[in-house]
Amino acid sequence: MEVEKFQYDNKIVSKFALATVIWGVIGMLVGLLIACQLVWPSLNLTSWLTFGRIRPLHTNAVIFAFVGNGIFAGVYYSLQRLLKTRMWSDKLSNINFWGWQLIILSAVISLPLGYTTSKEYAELEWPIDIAITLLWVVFGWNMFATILKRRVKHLYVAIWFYIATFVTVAVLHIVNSFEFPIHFMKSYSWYAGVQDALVQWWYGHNAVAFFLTTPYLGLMYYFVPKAANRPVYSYRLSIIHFWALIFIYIWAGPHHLLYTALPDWAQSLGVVFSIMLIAPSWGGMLNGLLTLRGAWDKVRDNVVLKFMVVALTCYGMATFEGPMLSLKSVNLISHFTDWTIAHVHVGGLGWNGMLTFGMLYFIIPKIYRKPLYSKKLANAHFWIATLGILLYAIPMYWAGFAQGLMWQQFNPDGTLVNKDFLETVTQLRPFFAMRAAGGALFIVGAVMMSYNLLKTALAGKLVANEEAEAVNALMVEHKKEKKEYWHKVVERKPVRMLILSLVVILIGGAIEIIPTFLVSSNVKTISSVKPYTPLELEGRDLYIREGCNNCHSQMVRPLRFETARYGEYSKAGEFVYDHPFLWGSKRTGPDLHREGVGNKQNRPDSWHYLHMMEPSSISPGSIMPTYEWLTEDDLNADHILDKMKAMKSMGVPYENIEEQAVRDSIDAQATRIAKSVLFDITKDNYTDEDVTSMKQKEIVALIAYLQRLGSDINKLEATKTE
Amino acid sequence: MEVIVLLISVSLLLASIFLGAFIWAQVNGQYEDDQSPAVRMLMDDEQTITSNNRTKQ
Repeated sequence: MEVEKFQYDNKIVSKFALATVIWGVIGMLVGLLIACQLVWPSLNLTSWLTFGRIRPLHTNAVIFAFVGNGIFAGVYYSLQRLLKTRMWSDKLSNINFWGWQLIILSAVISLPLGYTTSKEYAELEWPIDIAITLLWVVFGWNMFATILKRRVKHLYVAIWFYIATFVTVAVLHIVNSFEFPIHFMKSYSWYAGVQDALVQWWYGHNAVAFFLTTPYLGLMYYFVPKAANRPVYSYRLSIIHFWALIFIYIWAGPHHLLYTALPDWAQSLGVVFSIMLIAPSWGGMLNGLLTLRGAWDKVRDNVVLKFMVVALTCYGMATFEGPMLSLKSVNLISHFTDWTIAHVHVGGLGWNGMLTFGMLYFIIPKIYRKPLYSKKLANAHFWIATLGILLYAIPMYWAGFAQGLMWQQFNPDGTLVNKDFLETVTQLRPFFAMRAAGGALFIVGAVMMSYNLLKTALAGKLVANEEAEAVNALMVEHKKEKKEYWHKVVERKPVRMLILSLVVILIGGAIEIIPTFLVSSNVKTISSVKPYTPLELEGRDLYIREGCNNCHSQMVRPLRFETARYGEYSKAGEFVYDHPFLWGSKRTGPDLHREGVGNKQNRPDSWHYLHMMEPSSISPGSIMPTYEWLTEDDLNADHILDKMKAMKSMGVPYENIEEQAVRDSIDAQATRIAKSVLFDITKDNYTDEDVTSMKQKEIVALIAYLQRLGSDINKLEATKTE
Repeated sequence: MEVIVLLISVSLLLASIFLGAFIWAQVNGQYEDDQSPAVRMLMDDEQTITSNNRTKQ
């Protein structure tokens, strides 16, 4: 047995660690800004800093930039040590690093500019989606090649989690990102309505599962035993809960769509799997916490362990709460409220945040060969961050619960207690303020950590290439069999085989399945539901650009308190031409699905015009931003023909898409709306020039879209009664 | 709702990949020993690291 000498690449770890810290602080600051905007709407300073545009920036930054870089830092550190080998290719490691930062940078630029697909946690437009796919392959390639040249035969459980993360995120990202490009930064989702919603939440939930959970469980299985210097409580439990977790998670997505137009059986399926999830989730939490059995005294002295214990506790709370929120009776109250926001932040700040902090406090002193600059400061960070989480989560739970119940309250005479949606929002303002304070504390802690780690790194010196040595356990075995049939060789290269078969199956599956469901499109149609007019389609794209769906749902649930407030409940057949769907997941403002002509909520064109200019002038106390640029900027409808053609090729029945007919249609509808607005706001005292000027504005297209929302089924009823 | 066909296919595909990985792991003997891997990962070659014992900081 020969001992081989090699070096671990610490440089790449330090790069990812630095990126984690920087993007973490930035992503959290954006979060603080949007939290403050809900308290002081005047903080929506310019078009590109409005809540609707930067809320996705916050989520993308903390998920993919903060946690994403955290994953890479932790994986690159632990994988090399667990496999007793250097990463397969330094070049790929660096492509992984710089490519990922470029993707984040492109998100930071494109999201505030309004380039978005509107699909949550997948807002980035198609060129960036392709870049993400390529980068992910680079990461997987580097990881699997490293696994192949390992010097340890057995793959430690952490690596199983890393593998599942890679495979599943790849599949999720590709399936959810099927989109039809219109131009360089605009695309439409390939799926429509209910289908798009199902695919989106299949993705959305599993993004939580396989980007925020499995890689972090892998990191937990490495860093908790390391920090405590004791073996994991039960290796067997870790294996069992790993397989159970990845098997069950993938089915739980529909719990995001309870009481929506999604068929009941799909909702129930999601609920059942969500309930089951509690077992493997708690298996992981308990395994982590019990690793410290008999060693809890270490938690008192070791700040790394402190962070990790709180992380595991938050993981346990969030994964208990998740199944509970999946119960229809609980979801009835929680859905569309701040309860969901509280839930994800217990997971995000608690589980991901605290584990990342603990991991960084562990790694930096190791690779810089210097004890942590200040243990006291780290302890202070721990307490401030923990307090921040509590101050964030508790008011949000309260707010969510209160608002959910307020929506349901009826007077004895059968009318709603809070008829005005706004009443249920203004009540929440103190809670929003407390939440902002909690978030601010958490950021203060993160800044303290940045300083502490920076001081540590400056005092020490990075061991860029760390010397290590190990016996090559794989070579020992391989030498026995020299000449053999080629497939035998492949058989001993399991990972390569895994990738090969994945590629083979994916190609076959894609070729078979995609045309099948694209061609035979037999969605339940409602005869009176027609495609959007060209102007409405442009308006819809403005709705997407401004991120209206971040605060307004378009899904009236079939519940008495919903129909009493908004009107007829939403039906699957009404969304068949919606590429993408815009149901939303949070109601900071009221539902808009019955905003259109002929519905309960319908309002005159001029109402929308004035409301967009200054929401609080129409609804005193409104926290909606002002959208004055919509009344100043001209609509750019250059791509309308391409848009309609794209829609047509995806099954939307547009007839005669001819330049002149389309332009005439836009002009006629815009003129009608402009006149109606001007008539009201000038008291019938306007000139033709006013009409010509106004009809070109963006606001007109948006009003056209809003007035169309959910109005088609009324035409059905009209024809019936005739 | 025919997109469910796609999602179920893709999910089953994933499940079968994981099943394959699981079978490989079993056959390969990845799990025949459920004691030493937990301990082995703790044993890094750290003689050269000067301040590795963080608990005594």
